[in-house]
Amino acid sequence: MNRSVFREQRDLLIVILSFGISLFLGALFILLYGADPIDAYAGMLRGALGDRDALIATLARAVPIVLSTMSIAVAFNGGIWNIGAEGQLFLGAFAAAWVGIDLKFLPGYVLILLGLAAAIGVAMFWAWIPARLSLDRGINIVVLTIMLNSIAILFTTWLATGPYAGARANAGTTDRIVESMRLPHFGAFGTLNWGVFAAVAAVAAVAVMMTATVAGYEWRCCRLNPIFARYGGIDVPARKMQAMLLSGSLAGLAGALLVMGDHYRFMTTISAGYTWTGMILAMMVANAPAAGIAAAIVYAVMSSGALEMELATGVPTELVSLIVCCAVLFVTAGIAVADRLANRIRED
Amino acid sequence: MELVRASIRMVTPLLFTALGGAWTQQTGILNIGQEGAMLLASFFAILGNYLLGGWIAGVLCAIAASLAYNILFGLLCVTLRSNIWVVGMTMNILADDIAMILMKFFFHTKGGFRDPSIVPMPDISLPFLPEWLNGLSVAVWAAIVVLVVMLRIDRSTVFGLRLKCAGENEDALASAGVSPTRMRYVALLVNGVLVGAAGAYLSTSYLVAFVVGMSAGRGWIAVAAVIFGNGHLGWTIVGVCLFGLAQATGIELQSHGFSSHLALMLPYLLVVAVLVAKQWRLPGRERPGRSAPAQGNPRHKR
Repeated sequence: MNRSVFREQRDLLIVILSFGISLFLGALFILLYGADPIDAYAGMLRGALGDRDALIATLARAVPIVLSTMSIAVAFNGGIWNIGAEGQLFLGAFAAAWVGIDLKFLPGYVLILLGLAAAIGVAMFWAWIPARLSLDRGINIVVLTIMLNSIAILFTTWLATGPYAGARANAGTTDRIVESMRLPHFGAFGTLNWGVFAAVAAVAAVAVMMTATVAGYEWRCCRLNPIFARYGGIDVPARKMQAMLLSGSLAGLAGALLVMGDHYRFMTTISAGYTWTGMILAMMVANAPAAGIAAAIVYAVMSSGALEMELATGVPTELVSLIVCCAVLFVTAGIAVADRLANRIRED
Repeated sequence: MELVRASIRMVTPLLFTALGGAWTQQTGILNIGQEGAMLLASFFAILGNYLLGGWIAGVLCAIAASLAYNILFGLLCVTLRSNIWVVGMTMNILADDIAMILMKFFFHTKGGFRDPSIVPMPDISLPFLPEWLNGLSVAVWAAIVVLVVMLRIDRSTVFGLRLKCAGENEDALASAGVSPTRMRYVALLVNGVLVGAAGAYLSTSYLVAFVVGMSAGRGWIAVAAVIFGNGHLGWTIVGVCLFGLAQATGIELQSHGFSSHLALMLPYLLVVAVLVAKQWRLPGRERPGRSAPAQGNPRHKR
């Protein structure tokens, strides 16, 4: 017990240190652009948290990022490498938009529920295919999900530029969804909407499942030692499939909320790489749910303020992603080194 | 014939990448950082070409970038034995970001860069060649030379044997006095050079420009070919040719009025189909023979 607490504290320290070093590395890139790093980082914070509107925009931005992070975390934590969340998000988003365009005769609340259900269902289906193939046939799931990403994105792009192209042709967007399906916003500005409640509920439910239920324990067993898990009576493929379907449903929910809450239409640029961001965040904190949520919110603050930083100093917004990527590499390297040192001490 | 030529152009970058990947796979590392390495290399090819002048400078810059990338991958995955998926996926994304940040710095643009001063790789035309083989890039021929040399090394040298031994039984290799870790690094370095060439080909021959995301999943298709071949060069090449042909066919279909987005799905669908076909067996029945492809780090899985 003491050992594991020690490990948790040690790993937390590694994460924080890594993040600090990465911020420093990011500062070097800011210097490259001839700007003052402290100014740039301060501008980032101002841009994200400076006033009420900025804060609301940041919160709105956090919604898809937190959902994506949890989507990846639940899969990776279960030992199934769902790299396909991006494709699941796109298909989910389109499914929600389709409900809002082709079924607009239905009453509003039915539409909202149906849109959520369609998005989650389609995304789960798109997660089910590679999981089934991988679990039954041993096909490499990473390559499979990457290919399915490309297929899903090209397919929805075709839909949005072909059969479902909106009035503004060639823009890669569908028509707007019917008004009664649009989630109401908080206040006049910004895009923070009622979807945030759905997101919080889903994320909380999954976080509790991961940390405080038998399912969560068995997922961790499947990842850490599938042979032990099988010996202990865990149905490993079934648990992995569960994790994958949950992961897909969170990605689909993110897509649906982007359509119903933010853009009111499907567009080919609907995801600003949210699930890739979610992936590096989940990996940075080793799939721990609470830490993942915290990291996602920190990321939302940074990326929300990065626009202001880019305007002020010319440093591209990609800097934020670069910082987090470096942090992930430092964390993995740091934990590997620390583990080795610990082993050496014990052997002595 | 046009389709054959288009396929050759499509196969070239895949071939470089998959050959490099096949060797790292033999040593027990499934190199999933290929996509990022390729993108980074194609950016540095343009950068070197533009700043230093000349396509050779571009190729050298691309190779240097790709080598650095592969060495970092090796440090993390071979020396420190970190999880290969975490490192690989992160480095793929990192490569994107670095390319974007440097592009804005050097070229003051985000999205794409082309310039008349960029010298494309020369095309080779020889009088004795049939017409359909003339006017192909020098990189195409380089790929063929690399292919022949690597096949030769793979089949009939001690070095080729040691590479495979590092993956299949590293203790045996170590007891023969050869460091498996060193073999892995050698494979990664060779892979770095080859992926560098592939990236340079993409941005200074196939297109003479850098476009964001221009590797467009090619690195992943090469990884799929490596998995398909499972370290066997011959089968890897079969996979590469198949996927290259699918890409070329997809583009050909577009010119016949087929929706471009649907046509572009073709290679990805084919990759899925091929992987499924390869592993198609009744659930629960193990197939005898070669061991399963490396799913993580050599030996020390986490």
